[in-house]
Amino acid sequence: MNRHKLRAAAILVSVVLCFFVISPMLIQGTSAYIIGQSHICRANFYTEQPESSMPESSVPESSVESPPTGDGSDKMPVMVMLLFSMLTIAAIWFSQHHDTENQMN
Amino acid sequence: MNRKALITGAAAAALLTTCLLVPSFAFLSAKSPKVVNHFVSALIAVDLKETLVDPETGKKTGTKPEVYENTYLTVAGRTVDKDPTPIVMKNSTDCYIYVGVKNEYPDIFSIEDVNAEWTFVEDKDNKLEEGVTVYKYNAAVAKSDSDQQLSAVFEHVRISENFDGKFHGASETDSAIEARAFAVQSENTAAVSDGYAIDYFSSSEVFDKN
Repeated sequence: MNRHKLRAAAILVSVVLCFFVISPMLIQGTSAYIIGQSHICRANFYTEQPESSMPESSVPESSVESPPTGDGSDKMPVMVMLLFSMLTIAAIWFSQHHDTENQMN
Repeated sequence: MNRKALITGAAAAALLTTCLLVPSFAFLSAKSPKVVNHFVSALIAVDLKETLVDPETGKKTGTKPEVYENTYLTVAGRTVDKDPTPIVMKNSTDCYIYVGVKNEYPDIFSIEDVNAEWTFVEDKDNKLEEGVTVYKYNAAVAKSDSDQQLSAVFEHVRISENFDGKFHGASETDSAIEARAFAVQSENTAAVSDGYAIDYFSSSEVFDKN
């Protein structure tokens, strides 16, 4: 009985891993082109005389930055996988503990 | 006992054969020099600058694109100079160049005199925020050992003659037009680069940080 439960748990963990971790990694990998982005170039329009009429100019510099990484939602699959794994382990432990108690009774 | 002697004998024979054959192979064999392929990660560095403008007149005072920011007095009906110019840094990988422009008030500010080297990129799936437009440099920019300044995306911004002196947003007295250049490798991306650029400029963070 325990062996069946363990097998089911292993399958569950594998499915979770595939869905939430490996698949996003594969999808992300297919679109990882080399990119570059510049600083923002800004034109400020005003309707009143500012205190300083001279425009601010920044020191020119180049940069290579990674594209926006989002709001942290890309960490979700890992979190979900960890949660599922913990739940699976807890379920296995509980079932084993329950079986042991039944045998003792 | 006989079996043990047989195994020992076989092992000894195998060892002896190996000792005899290996040096012989050494004389008969040859190997080529080691081939090592070094894969160096490619990079694209792109900058976007404008020529300095006199805030009072809206006309250029500089001679080349060198600033990230200009300031303009907003006068109804006036056309001001604005020339966002991408510069692809030396040794950048072959790439397509896009420039996204965020215009908070398209009814007040209109982009004029887009250069012929640039093409408006259509947002077929309506992914871009209102007021954001994307332009593409027509040709792929090839790798070079020196910085390459492209032509300006456009030359002027016209202020509507209907502008009543107030902006109707968070601030009544100030507004801004922002632009950012984006580059993507040209190898193997001809069919998808436009969509890739639209996706990039559709992110709300693109114009929120420097």
